[in-house]
Amino acid sequence: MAVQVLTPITRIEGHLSIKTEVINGKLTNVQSCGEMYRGFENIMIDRRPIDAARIMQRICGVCHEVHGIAAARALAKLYKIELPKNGKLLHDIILGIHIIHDHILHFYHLSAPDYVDFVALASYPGNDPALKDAKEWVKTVKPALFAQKVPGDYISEPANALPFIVHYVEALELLGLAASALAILGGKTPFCHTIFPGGITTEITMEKLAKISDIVDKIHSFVVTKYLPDVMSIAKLYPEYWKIGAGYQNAICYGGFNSLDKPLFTSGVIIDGKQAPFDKNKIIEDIAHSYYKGSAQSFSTGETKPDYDKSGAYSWIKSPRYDGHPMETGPLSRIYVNYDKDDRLSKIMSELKQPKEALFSTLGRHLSRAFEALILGEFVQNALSTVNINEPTIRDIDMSIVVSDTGLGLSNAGRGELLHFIETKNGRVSRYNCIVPSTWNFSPKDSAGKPGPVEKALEDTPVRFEKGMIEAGRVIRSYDPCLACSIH
Amino acid sequence: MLNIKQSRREFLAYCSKIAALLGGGVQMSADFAEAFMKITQKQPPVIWMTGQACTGDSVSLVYSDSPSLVPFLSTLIDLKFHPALSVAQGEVAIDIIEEQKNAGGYILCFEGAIPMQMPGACKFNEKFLSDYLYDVVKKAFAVIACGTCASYGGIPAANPETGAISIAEYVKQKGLSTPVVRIPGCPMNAHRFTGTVAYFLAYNKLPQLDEDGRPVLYYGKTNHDNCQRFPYFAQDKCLTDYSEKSLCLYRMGCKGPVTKSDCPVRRWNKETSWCVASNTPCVGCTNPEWPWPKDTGIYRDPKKILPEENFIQETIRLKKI
Repeated sequence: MAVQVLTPITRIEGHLSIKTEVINGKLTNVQSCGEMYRGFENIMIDRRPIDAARIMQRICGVCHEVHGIAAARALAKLYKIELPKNGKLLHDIILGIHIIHDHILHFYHLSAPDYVDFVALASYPGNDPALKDAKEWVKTVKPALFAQKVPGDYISEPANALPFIVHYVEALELLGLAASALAILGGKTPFCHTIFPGGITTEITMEKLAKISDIVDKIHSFVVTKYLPDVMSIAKLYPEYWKIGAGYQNAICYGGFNSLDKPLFTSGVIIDGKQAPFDKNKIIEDIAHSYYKGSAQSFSTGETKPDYDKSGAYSWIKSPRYDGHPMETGPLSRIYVNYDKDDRLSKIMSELKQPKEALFSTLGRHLSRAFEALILGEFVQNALSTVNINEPTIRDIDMSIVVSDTGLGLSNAGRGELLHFIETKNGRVSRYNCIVPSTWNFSPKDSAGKPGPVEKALEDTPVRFEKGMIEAGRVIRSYDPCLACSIH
Repeated sequence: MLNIKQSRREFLAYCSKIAALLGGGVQMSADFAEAFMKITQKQPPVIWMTGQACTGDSVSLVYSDSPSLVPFLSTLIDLKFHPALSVAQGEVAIDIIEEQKNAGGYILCFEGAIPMQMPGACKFNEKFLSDYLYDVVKKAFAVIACGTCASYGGIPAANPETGAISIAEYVKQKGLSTPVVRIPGCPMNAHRFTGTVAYFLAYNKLPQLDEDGRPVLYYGKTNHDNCQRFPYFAQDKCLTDYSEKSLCLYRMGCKGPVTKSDCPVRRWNKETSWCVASNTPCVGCTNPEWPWPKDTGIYRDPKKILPEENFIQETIRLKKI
């Protein structure tokens, strides 16, 4: 059977292709191909360590604040500084607001068009001026951006489709608001330049905190009244996606959001259905099928030596493995490892008549993401009320110290768990390594021949429409792929 | 085309919003409206593509508020393809691009850099981007380089491995004649982008560009020239520790004096703030030098930047002007 290539995969960050055979109407021998390399780790070599806070931040402009925070954490370890309470809180607040808004963007703007026919806007009956204008536009112009889609089983009945489209537009406004909340703390966004290893440079006032809190309230209310119910509607309309895209059902969570009394997420791994403690030393990066020279290494010994002509290689993404296992990471892995902490999700799952294990699925990933947006909103509000405006927001690092040491920064990103490692000699960077959520999820086969998590999840996905592979797109997007991140 | 059902009053309000983007303020709107009214051509088709990019410039556009994304798309441009927004995928997406390519006359918005020495470092539609891009650029009416990578190479060009170059350099190397407007910034500020597009639509020509290919409207002065903390610089009151929240950031490594941009007046994200207003130095992200050579770096030890350096450098700079 001939190999088919799905490219370009749109509504994701970056350059991803899927190579696959289709046998008996199902995907077989799937390869996930990351197709863009910049070499961020090598860009840092010989630079001053502090530059990592600004340069590594640029790995991704979609998950923009996550690499800034992870780099800052690695640098804080390198310089051995303890953050003031406000510094920790404000880092978590930036991360929290960013992740919530990223989840909303992912569901409405990147994923919903896989399920909803946006041309249904032409029958919008309401009076909202912006939507009425958009309706005229869709009706008269039929814009290619929203009208030219691949064949598939879309929701096109106006009564069912319109809420998603109305919320798509409403969510755009919220993203702008979330961005202004981030700009209050970060000066601007994408890429807040106030994030430093010891906290943030911004002066914090009651007025600023109140403005942020007001925005977070609006976003949280959207999550409760629209985002979560819309995900549940999709789940009810497409129940087959509780089974499609299950993958290995292995998950990894580093823990995180530790700045309040109790951590929001506790670390842990799920392997073959069993939960175990997380041990960072069990992580290695395999490169058997990646365009690099060398061999499998840990994050503290790994190198990045590009070799595009390497035989057998098919992706710029490396293959992280935990104790030899391909692991899924994302809101799903954090939520699954911490499932018993909050009974609201189990109630939702009972309402949907699904067991906990069904979270490992295309729909389960969307639901975990929406649920995470809910609990992060509560976390951010608590954290905002804990910031003390009379206390410092930052502890400076001493730039005159010539440091020869290492620092590890573990953090969370919208798409899963994030690791930055820095090593310096005589005050200059000698090694930098990032293992990013989409590196885990979209990795190619390893030297043992084990496919990466998404390759595994796509295996046996049904193909019912001849052109465009809509089903594959749904499974792929449930992981919220970020290719700039995965390769960096 | 602009929605003709809009009343003239609504239309003028809309124009004044757009005119404000161009830095001209409300009084410009009547002139602007007339110019808009004269346009009979359709909204220009636009193809958006990314190279060695992070999508931050697109995300910046998504956050835009004046105009916000949907009105921008429904009234100003006809965005045919965008990798992060198009509902199409795979061959359906390629068909859209190919159809436009055959028709020609579109604006190409390009984000990111292009790897020339290691072409395998960026692929599109199973081809090297550096090859695929040739016809897309050639058939375009104009190219908008979105962000610093597309304008000058930016961060990808800081790594010699891939031989990353800007789209402007690509056009030059390939001997193409498509005009390029650069909107540098890491990321691009959405106002500068929508404003440039609005100017083009209103006057049917590209705005005046400086010697580096940037619209003078947005990049005519340095951040330093318009900085709210300039009085502290003049009095040589610089902070050397971030616990101090209001003084000049020069000694922390501020690149405002050498970076052309209107951040202090335009600000970011619904005019909420900008870097110096949030007590962090300008890193010069719109500067062709961004992210700065290894030795210079982004930040420096404040103890090693002597206060009198300010005056010496400022004197040299003023003499040059």
